[in-house]
Amino acid sequence: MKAPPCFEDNETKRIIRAICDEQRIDPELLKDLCEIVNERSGSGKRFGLPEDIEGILDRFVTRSKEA
Amino acid sequence: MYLSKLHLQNWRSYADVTFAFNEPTEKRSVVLIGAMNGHGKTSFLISLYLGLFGKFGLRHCEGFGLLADEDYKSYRDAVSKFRRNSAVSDEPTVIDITLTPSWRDTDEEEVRVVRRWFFSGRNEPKQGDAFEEVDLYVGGRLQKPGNLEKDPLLLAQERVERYLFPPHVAPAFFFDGEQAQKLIETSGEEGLKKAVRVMFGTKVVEDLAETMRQYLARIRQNTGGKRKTSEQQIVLEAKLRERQTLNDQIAKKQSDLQKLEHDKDAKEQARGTLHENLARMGGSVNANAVQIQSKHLLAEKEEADAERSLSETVKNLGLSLAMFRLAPAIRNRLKAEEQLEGWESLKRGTIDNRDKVLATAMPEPDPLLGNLSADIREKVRNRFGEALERIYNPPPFNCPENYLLGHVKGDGKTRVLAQLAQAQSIESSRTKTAAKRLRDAREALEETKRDMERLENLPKATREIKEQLEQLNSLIQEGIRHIGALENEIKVAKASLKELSKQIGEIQEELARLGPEQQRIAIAERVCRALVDLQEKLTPTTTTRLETQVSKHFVNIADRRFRNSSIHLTTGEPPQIQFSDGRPPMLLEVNSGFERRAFGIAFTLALAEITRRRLPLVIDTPLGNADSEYRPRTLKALAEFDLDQIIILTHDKEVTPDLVEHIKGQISQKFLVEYQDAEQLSIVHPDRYFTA
Repeated sequence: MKAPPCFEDNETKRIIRAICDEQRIDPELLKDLCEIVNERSGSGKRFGLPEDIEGILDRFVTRSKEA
Repeated sequence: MYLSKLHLQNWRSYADVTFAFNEPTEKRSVVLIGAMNGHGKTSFLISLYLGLFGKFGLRHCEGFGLLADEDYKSYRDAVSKFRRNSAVSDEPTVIDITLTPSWRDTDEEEVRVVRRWFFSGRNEPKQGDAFEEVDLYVGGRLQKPGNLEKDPLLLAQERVERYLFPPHVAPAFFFDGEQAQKLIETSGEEGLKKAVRVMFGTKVVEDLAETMRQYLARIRQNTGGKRKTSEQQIVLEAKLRERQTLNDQIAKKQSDLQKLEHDKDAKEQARGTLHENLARMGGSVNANAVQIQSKHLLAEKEEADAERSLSETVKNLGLSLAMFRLAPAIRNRLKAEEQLEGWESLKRGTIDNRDKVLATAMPEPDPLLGNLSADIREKVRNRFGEALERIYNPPPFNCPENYLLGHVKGDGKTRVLAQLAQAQSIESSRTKTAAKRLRDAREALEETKRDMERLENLPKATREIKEQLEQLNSLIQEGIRHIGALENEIKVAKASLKELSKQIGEIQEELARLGPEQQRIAIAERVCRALVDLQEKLTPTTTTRLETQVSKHFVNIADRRFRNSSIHLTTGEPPQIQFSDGRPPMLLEVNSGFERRAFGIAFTLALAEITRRRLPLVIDTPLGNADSEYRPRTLKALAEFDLDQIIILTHDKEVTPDLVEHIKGQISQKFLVEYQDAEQLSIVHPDRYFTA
C-alpha cells in the first residue's frame, strides 16, 4: 500500500514536515500510521490495528534513540 | 500500470473474447476501441468495475449510484442482466483482468483478478457463496485465503484494494463522458471535494486522527492503574514545553545579542571615522590659512581696480553713447551737405561758363540779330544770363540751405563716418570688458570670503565632532553594558536549560523503566496534536489543488471564451467559473451540455492527477455530440494526459478516422468491435478501426 498522495506532494510535504518538527515526531511515523489505517479501513479489517499502531510507535522510539 | 489483458466470457454481447493490449510507450499511450452503439463499449467499461471490485464496484457504475455495498440482491440482479442471454447455463460469466506495471512502475507487481459468477440451469444466479468466486494473482502467484474464517470475497476485495486501489478511486479512471457530466449534476461540489479528500489522502488523515483518539483511550484504560506514570508523563510534557520556551528565549536573546554587537561595531566604526576627520581638519587649518589670507587680499585689490576701471569706462561711455545717438544724424547731414556741395559746384560751373554760352548763343556779328541795337542786345543777353541761373533755382529737394559741417569736405566725410562706427564699437567693448573684470573680481573676493569664514568656523566644526564623539562613546558604553547583561542572561538561561534537560532525562529514564506504554502514550498524544493541526492546514490546500487542476484541464478543453477562466468551488454553492479579464462570474450549470461535459472530464482528469496513481484511463464516448472545434481539442487534451495508457471507447461518428489524424502520433493500438446479428455476439478485430 502506498502512502496517501498528500505525503508525496511537495507543498503538503512541507506542511507535514513543519508540524512534525513542532511535535517532535517524524513524517515517517505519520506516514506509517496513515498506511496502516488505510490498509485496515473497512468493516472487519480493524482487528489487530492497536497492535500495529504500537509496533509503529515503538519503531519510532527506536529511530529516535538511534538518531 | 496498464491494462494488459481483458478476457470477457458470457458478458453482455461478448461470448468469449480477449483484448490483449501492448505495453504502451512514453509517446504512444492511446488505445482506440471503435464500436457502434450497442456493440459493446459500455460493457467493456462496466466489466472493469465489476471484474475488479464485484459488488463494491457496482454502485460506482452508471445507473447504480444509489446502491449500497450491502445490497446484494440488486448486485445479483445486475450481474444476471449483464450475463450474455444465450450463455450456456453451466458456463460461468467470467471477467479476467490483468494490470501490468509499465516501464515507469519500478515497485509494482502485476495484478490479475479473475472473477466468476455461476448460474443454474435456467440461467438463475446460484444461491449464497456458490454465486461468485474470485482469484487474485499478484506477480503471477495466486493469493490463497489465509484467514479461513473470513469471507473469501471480502478478503480478495481487501487485497485488490491493497495491491491496486479502492473502488471509489475507479470513477477517476474508468468513466464515460456522460457519467463525467453527471458527476457535477448529481454529486454537487461537496461530493467532488469529498472525492478529492479521499484521493488526496486527507480522508486517511481524518481516519487516523479518530483511530489515534480511540487508541489513546484504549491504552489509557489499560494503564489506568499506573496513575503515577500518567502524572509523571504530564510533568514531563510540562517540562518539555518549558524547555521549548527556554530554548526559544535563548534563541531570541542570542539574536538580540548579535544585533547589539553589530550595533556596537557600527558605532565604533563611526567613531573611528570621526577621529580621522578631526585629524584631517587640524592639518588643513595650518596649511591653508596663509594661502587663503593672501588670496583674500589680492581679491580685494582686484575688486577695487576693476571698479575704478569700470567707472572710467563708463565716463567715456557718455561720449560713446552721444556719438551712438548722433551718428545717424551726422551721417545724414554729411550726405545732404555732400549733395548741396555737388549742386553748388554744378551751378558755379554753369555760371562760370555763362559768357561762353552767351557768346555761342549771341555771336558778334550775329547775322540773325545783326540789326539789334546794342542796348537791346545787352538786355537780351542779361535775360539769357538770368534764365541760365534760374536752371539751378531752387536747389534740389532735401538739399540743405547752408553748411553746418562745411569744414568736412570730400573723402573727409567717409573717414569721419568710419571713425564714428569704430569709436562706438571700441567703447562698447571696453565697457563690457570692464564690467566682466569687476564681476570676476567680486566672485573671487566672495570665494576668498567663504574660505575665510570656513577658516574662522573650523573650531566650531571641531567642537561639533567632539560632541558627536562623546555621544558615540556614551552609546558604545551603554551597548557594552547591555551586551554584558544579555550575555549573563543567556548564561543563566543555559544553566536552567541544562538543569531542565537533566530533569527531563531523569523523568524519561524513570518512565522508560516503568514501561513502554507511557512512551507510546506520549508519542500518540503528540501524533494527535499533529493530526489536528494537519487537518486544519490540509483542507484549504486540498481545495486549492482541486481548483487549480480542474481549471487547468477545463481551460484546455472548453471553448476559447473560457481561456481566461478558473473554476471555483465554494462550500454550499455550485461550481462557478470566474474570469480574470473582468467578466462577471457564471455558474457552470448555466452553460451548454458540452461545457458541463468538459468540466466533468476536467474533473476526472484532475482526480486522476491528484491521486498520483498511474492507472489506465478508460473513457467511453469522451466527445459525445461535441462540434468540430471541440473534438480535436478534447481528443488532444486526453491523448496528451500524462498516464501510461489511455483507452478511448468510441463510435464511428465520434472519433472519426479524420479526427484520429490529430492524435495518430500517440496511438499505440486500435480495435474494432462488431456485433454479429446472426450469432448475437461481438467480435473483436485487433488492428482495425472504422474507415472513412
